[in-house]
Amino acid sequence: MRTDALAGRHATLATGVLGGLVLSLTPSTADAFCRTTTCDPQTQDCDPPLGAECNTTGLPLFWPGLCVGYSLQKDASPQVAFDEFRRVADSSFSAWTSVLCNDQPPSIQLEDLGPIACDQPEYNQRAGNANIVMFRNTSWPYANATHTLALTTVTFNTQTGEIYDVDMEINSAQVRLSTSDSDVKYDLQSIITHEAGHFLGMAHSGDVSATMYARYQQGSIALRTLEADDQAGICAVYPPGRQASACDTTPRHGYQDTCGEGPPPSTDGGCTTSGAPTGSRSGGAAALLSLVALSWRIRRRARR
Amino acid sequence: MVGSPDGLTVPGAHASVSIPLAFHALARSADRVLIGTVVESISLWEDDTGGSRRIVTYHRVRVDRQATDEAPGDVWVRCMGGIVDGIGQRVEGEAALRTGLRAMLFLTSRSDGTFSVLGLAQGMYPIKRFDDGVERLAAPRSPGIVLQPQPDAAMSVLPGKTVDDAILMVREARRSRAN
Repeated sequence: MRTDALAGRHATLATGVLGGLVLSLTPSTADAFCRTTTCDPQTQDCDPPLGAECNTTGLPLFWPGLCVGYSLQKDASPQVAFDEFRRVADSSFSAWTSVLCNDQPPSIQLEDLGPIACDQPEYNQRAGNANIVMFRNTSWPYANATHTLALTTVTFNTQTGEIYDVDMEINSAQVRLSTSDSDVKYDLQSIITHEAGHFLGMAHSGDVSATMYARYQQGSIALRTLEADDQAGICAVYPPGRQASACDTTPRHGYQDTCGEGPPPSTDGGCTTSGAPTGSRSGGAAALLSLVALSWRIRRRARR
Repeated sequence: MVGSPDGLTVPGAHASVSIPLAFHALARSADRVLIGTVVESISLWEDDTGGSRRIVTYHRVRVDRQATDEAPGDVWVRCMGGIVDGIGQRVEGEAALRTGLRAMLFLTSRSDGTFSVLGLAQGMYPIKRFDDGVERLAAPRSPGIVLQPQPDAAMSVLPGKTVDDAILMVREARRSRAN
């Protein structure tokens, strides 16, 4: 099912949630924040060691518009009811949009588009999309990554750096989450706040105190709030007065509540397709294929 | 302590996003551990096992040495993310293989005969020739945000080790599993 209009849906501007939590920023001369770029990891080393200089190969990623919508999986989790999920997620995204850049807000606003049925990370080239924060309640689908508490997938245009879609998966199947300020387990708000930085195009910072630093202390809720380096980062990526398209939270190709390609997108929402679809799909293959057959199969799929 | 189905150790109960894997757990849980060079990479759209649609990249790895007893030959390693026709996809924390990269890889088998990197980026250690002329393992790249690694974490233990030493350590860890 495709939803063409967002009218009537729950919509709360993230900036409103933490309206009282505004942070004044003075640009720092020792910024350590980094931006994710279009750097192709198949051809170059795109990931500097922890604490090293930022990767500057490729174009930095960014949302082109002034507003971006995100959706919350409607089933939430047995560990975290939807209303609490919404409160935590909205607070996490608000941490970024509540920053003040020389007394002005950054030129990006994040809007909670409410609950969504789709609970899969995906980017549809021929149908609507949604930027989803979702739980994995029954099983974590990445057998090789059971140590992972959350995964964020960012889809982007390699020619411009424009972000098309971001989906965030939280491993609630194997992890005890907590949302309170005491008896902290795996602090959901810390997780989402850090991942929200990736959502906005930030990479890991070299500043050990930053929310975007790639380390976390056990039981801490410190990542819920941004440090000066994080604030400098969001102000650099989305400076006040940035030339950007008008405020429109519609995801690329229109909003879609359910997973999959679905019906073709309407022409009244979102953007037009610029990437050529490959049309290639695979649902897995028979086991015990010879290496030769496997190589042939992979090549064939890639050509389709 | 949070359990995990494949027996990987999860130290402590409080962490965020990625948990450092203990070296012994990584070495024992891997189906294959090898030293290899990526000789080819192919990206494509694929339906994932969980039902999602994403870009994945298959890397053909030429095996130079093995820490596990397996038949010689190339292996294909599947990683999430890549670039297809001007659309890029990045998964924070995934192993970043690329053509020409030589690394120690801890692999887990997939049902289609390919492999994935166990522990995502924590299962891949690039090999570099250091100033003393000796090839050693470097730190894993882009492991995502992780809990402060414990001394026994693979990402603490392996960087700086020579290839020979690392292979011996893996074999010893796997022998102790068998006993």
